[in-house]
Amino acid sequence: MNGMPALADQIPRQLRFAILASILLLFLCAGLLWNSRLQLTQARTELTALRTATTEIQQRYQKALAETPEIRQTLARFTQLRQDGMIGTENRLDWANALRTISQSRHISKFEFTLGPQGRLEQFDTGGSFRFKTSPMQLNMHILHEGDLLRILSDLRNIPSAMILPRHCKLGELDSDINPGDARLLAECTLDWVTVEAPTDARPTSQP
Amino acid sequence: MFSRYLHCIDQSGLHSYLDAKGGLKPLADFPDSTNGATQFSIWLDGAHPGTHTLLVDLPDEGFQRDSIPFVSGADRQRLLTRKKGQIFAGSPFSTTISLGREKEGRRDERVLFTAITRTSVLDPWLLVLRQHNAPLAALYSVPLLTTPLVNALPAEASHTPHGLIISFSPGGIRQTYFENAALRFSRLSPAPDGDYIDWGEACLNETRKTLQYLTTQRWITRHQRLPVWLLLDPHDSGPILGQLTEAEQLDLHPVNLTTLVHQFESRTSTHSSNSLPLMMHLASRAKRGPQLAPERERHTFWLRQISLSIVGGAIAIASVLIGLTLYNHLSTRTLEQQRELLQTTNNQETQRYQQFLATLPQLPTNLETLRRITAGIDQLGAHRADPGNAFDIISHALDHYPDITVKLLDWQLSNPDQGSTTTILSAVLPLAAAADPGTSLQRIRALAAELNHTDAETSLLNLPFEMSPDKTLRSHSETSSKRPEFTLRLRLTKGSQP
Repeated sequence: MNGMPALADQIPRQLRFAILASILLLFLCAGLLWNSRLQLTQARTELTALRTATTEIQQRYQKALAETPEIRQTLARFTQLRQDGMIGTENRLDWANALRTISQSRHISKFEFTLGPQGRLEQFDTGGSFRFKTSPMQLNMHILHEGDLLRILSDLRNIPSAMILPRHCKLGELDSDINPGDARLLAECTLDWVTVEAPTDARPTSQP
Repeated sequence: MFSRYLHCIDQSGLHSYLDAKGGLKPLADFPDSTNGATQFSIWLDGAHPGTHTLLVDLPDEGFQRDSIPFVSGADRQRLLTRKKGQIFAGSPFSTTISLGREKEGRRDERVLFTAITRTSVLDPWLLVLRQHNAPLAALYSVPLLTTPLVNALPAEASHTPHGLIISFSPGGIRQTYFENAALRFSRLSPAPDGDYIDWGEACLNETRKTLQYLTTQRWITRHQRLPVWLLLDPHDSGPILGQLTEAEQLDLHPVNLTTLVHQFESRTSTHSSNSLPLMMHLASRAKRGPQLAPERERHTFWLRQISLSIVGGAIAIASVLIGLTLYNHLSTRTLEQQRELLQTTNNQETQRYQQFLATLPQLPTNLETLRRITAGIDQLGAHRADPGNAFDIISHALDHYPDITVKLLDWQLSNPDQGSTTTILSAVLPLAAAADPGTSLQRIRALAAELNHTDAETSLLNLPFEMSPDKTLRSHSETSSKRPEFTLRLRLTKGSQP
């Protein structure tokens, strides 16, 4: 600290004002230059960002233009799936009615099913708020012939509100004595009822 | 910002001028007395800050030529200082003019030493300047300005080996002898009575004295002709030249003083043969020539010069910085203009995009999610398998083996990603087959081979008669009581057809 006054004393009084004024002038000009550099850098950054944004919007426009046929096609498919009930909340009551109708139409003497709780199908990721879901079903029935099983599975395949995937089917003879015309086979199947759960707050969007 | 003052000191006192663009502007006259110095001090108090140059037109001058060994730098400076002290002891107002080197011998340097010998004339004025910290730029005597004056004279003056310049001023008649355009000797004789036009006779007398002095010094020979340039107003030129023609040794060259003054682009008006305004102009324009003020008297001036240099340097650097700032500012403006144009384009593109989107049906989610949903459903459908395929294959195969009875069919989706399935078939042969294991095994293997004809992969899991070395073989009586039973596995990949 003692060095500073000594240094100042060594500078002739006539020079102090010139030195001080020069330093102030240089600081002022350096400040102006620094500020102008900041403004220039900011202007460059903003221009670059705007160029990027403009390019992006042009690319998105071109992409949307090219994807329009696919958009319409995919949307039509999606709409149909939603109308079928494949996309949306499980409608178990409709499923139960459909199963009853099938058993009656196929004259199945014993037709029992158990539909388990719904779980997530991790195999597929939609990348959005839609989720693939699966509900396991255990189906037991007495049938006359293995063809009955195949026809019932075919009927199930035609249910539009779910993608029904057989996992396991076991077909064996009934142990009890049977009369002619009675069912002689026991069929036990495990099926997955796959649907797509839609978010409750899904809102329409125009952006592809 | 700062003014430049020129003060001319002669026997009458000090005369101050302002060195302005329009020429030297008279400011004040101060008599050579104590009162004059006081008045000068008061005047200096109110004067605008500036530098001060002194021009002395006094007869108290000394000139001596000497030779010094050829040295340079600080040694030369010390040698010259010592010589000056020896030659002009007691006068700090001295200086040297180098006249070049000798052509023979040691080739010493010829130096002219000159000084104001009566310092008391200058001391009061310098004391006032010192008290006011007034920067003294230089102290000149009229002879010190000989070289620029000779260069301004007609061309023969600067080429002649020697010559004499005669000029008039209120201080008297000055005769300056020069060699090769460099000062050699000068003397100021008192001013005669009357106007300059009447100074012819006195001028003739003084010139004869000078010629005699020059001859005595052997600078010229007795009959050698000496060129003389007379600085005169045309009005005074005739009578004075008429007088001087009596000196037969002189080659007279009258110089129009008014023309000479204009030659220096000086606007100082000269209406007589007074050459002092011309010399003052030369003094005000002299930059690096020799001058008489000791360095200690110029201390304030040098500090001021350093201050100006510092400020000047700072201004130069500041100018560069400001230039760069302006360049950056202009670049920024250009970029901003480009941005404004691009912003317009961006707005148009965005509007076009939004308008196009408005024509599209509203999507429940983004397109990528829609793609994934439909692709996932398609993939599930593509890999969906059911027992029908396997059952058909087995049924077709069993058509050729009516004696085999199926007991159990166990179908399972073994690989959901590929849609491949595994079916376990358990069946029995007739009881009679138990008596003929060879035929039974042959039929079982034939059935397996029948199933194997497609993409299906068939493997026998269990046989009624174990023939392998690693299995247990039982007696005939133990197996002949029940129908031979076997188990095989059928693996199908997606797309296998019966």
